[in-house]
Amino acid sequence: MSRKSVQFTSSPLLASKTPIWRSQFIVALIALGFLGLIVRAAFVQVIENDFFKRQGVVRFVRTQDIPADRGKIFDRNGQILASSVAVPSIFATPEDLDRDPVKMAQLAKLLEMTLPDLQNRTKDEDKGFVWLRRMVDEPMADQVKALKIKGIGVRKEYKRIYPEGEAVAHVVGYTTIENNGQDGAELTFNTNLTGHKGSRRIIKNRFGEAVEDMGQTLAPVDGQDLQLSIDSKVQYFAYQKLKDAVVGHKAIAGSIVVLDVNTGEVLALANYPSFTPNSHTNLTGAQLRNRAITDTFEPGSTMKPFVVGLALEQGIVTPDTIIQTGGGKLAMGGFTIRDDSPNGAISVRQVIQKSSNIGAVKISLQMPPQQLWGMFTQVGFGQKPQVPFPGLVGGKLRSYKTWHPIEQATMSYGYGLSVSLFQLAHAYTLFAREGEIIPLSLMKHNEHVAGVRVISKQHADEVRQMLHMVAGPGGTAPKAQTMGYSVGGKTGTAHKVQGNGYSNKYRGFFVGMAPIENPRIIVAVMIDEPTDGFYFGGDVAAPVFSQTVQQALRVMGIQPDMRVKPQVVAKAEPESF
Amino acid sequence: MTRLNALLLIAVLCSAFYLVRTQYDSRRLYTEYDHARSESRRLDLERERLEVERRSQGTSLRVEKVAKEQLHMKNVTPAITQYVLEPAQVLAHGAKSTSEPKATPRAMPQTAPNVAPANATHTDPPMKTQVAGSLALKNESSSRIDIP
Repeated sequence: MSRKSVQFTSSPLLASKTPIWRSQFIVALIALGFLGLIVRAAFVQVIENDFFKRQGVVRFVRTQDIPADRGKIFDRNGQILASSVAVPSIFATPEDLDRDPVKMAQLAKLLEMTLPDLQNRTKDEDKGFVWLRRMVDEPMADQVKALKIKGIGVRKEYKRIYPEGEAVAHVVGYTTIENNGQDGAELTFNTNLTGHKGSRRIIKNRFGEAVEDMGQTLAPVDGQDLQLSIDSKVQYFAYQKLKDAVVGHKAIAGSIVVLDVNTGEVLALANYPSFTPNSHTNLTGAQLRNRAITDTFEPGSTMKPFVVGLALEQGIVTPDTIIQTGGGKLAMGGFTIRDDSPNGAISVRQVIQKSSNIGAVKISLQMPPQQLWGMFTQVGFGQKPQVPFPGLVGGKLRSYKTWHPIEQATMSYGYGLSVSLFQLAHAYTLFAREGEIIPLSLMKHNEHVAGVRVISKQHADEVRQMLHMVAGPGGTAPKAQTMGYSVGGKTGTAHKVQGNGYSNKYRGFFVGMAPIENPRIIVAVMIDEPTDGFYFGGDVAAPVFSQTVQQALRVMGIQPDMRVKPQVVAKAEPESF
Repeated sequence: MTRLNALLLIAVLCSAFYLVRTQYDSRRLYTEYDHARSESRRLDLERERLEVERRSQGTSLRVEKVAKEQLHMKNVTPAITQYVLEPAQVLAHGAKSTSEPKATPRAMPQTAPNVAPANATHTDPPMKTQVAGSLALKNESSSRIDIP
């Protein structure tokens, strides 16, 4: 074979003709491929696009909560009693925390924690979020921010602030750190105060700024504000005077209730000891208890006016009927009923004025048990007061069917039944409202409230005059008098029950009203276990009554009804018009 | 035909650019709006904080403390209070009733705990020696700057 015969350019293989269908087949395959892509693209973008749209939305749309404000609590004059304030809280995200020991030490020092404690809290790297310290003050938060530690952040939270502090703590109550009401009005009206948080869906850009609203915004509903019937000035005075008395008489506790006679509103309700609601840690039950409404006790002599009122109403006695109380001792069914001092023959007026147990017993035994029981029930003893508030109790009043004569006798001077101070104050509206019992309210309504008549006006007025005598010369509570205003009320001193019998520990009470001719307020005071030698209601509770009445009537703008020797040193310039 | 197509192309382009521009504007404005809203929220919270702060500076406890310790004031009693009639009633009654102690409750003077906290900055006791009547006037006028 010659050299020429071998040509690389002309292969014998190429000589054979390629069939045309092969290239056409390839073209068709490619075309089919494109067609497939086009169909898929159309399918993805036009027909079945929901899935991808959804996935897209998930990647750039954020749902944000819009917080609702918790309602504020005001007193009757619009002063803030409780309000929520945004305060910074410090948190960590352990999964991307910068654990530089120097910075960690600085942070621990700022947060007033030990370094091991801080490290322990942020140990678990799987955790996305850990609170380090909640509700700190603004400067601390600024300092933490200034450290610029990765994985440490500051977030605003709502903290409940109570400007009036311990004076109104039992009425207003307090909330948890999560803003749930725990006590008092905060608990009772928690649902109304809370409101509902809203939400919105937005697109955020890479700076974290909201750039587009996706619609679907749910507006937050703020909690409703609440206006209590409490007058913070009256409350303050009442609390201060009560505190002074409890501390001064070395007592273990005390309570005070001030009512508006016209409207049935509670102007003040305070207990000592109390607590500071702003920082409710390490609280004891003794501090937290709203004694005026949750504690019941035997009311002692404060019960006598009801017995006398009923006896007058039944026509059994008149104010001038003479009752023989003898030498201060009365034997009955194996018991001896005693007066503090022998009173001899005294009128019904004096039975109240001098608080004679024997007198009250003799009057009460002239009436059937059912009538007495009816009277006690009508003024609210043995029933839970109809006021929305946590912890209200009804006290004990047994059915008249089970009363023995000795029990009827002891009940007439306040032993053998139990009431709360709140109930006692409520019951005294009977005399202040000329024979009517009125419903009470812790909410401001400022309207004259209608009552239910229990005894006639004449008999209620007669008892009120007797109550006035209690605070007068020869009565058990001259210390209840106050400058400028005529007052009336009833003292009570009750032995406390201990074990199976009565101990030598006492409770002293005073329940009264002022001005006596046209009462505007009722003040009830209870001092528990005074131990400085004084324990009579007229000595320990009456002065608190006196001071509270003085201040409360002045704040309410009520003109004195008694002449006072003026002590004005110079004459004022005549007013010009 | 070609000219019309060119015209339509330009129109479409313009519209497209305008759309982009509008979208951009809308997002920018929404961001601004959102900033303004969170600012307003922040100011609201600040106002609430300050209101509470003001209230806690003006509680009865503090006012009484300042009035007693710094201003040397004392509680008003009926003995050092002169009761006067309101102007309308004085006109109705004539001059003869002004000297009587009978007065309307609203004319009662305010006492120390009603003094506005603004007064607390005084260090000297300017009202100490004044009579009850003018004391009342002073306090009444100052109580206007008290918390409403």
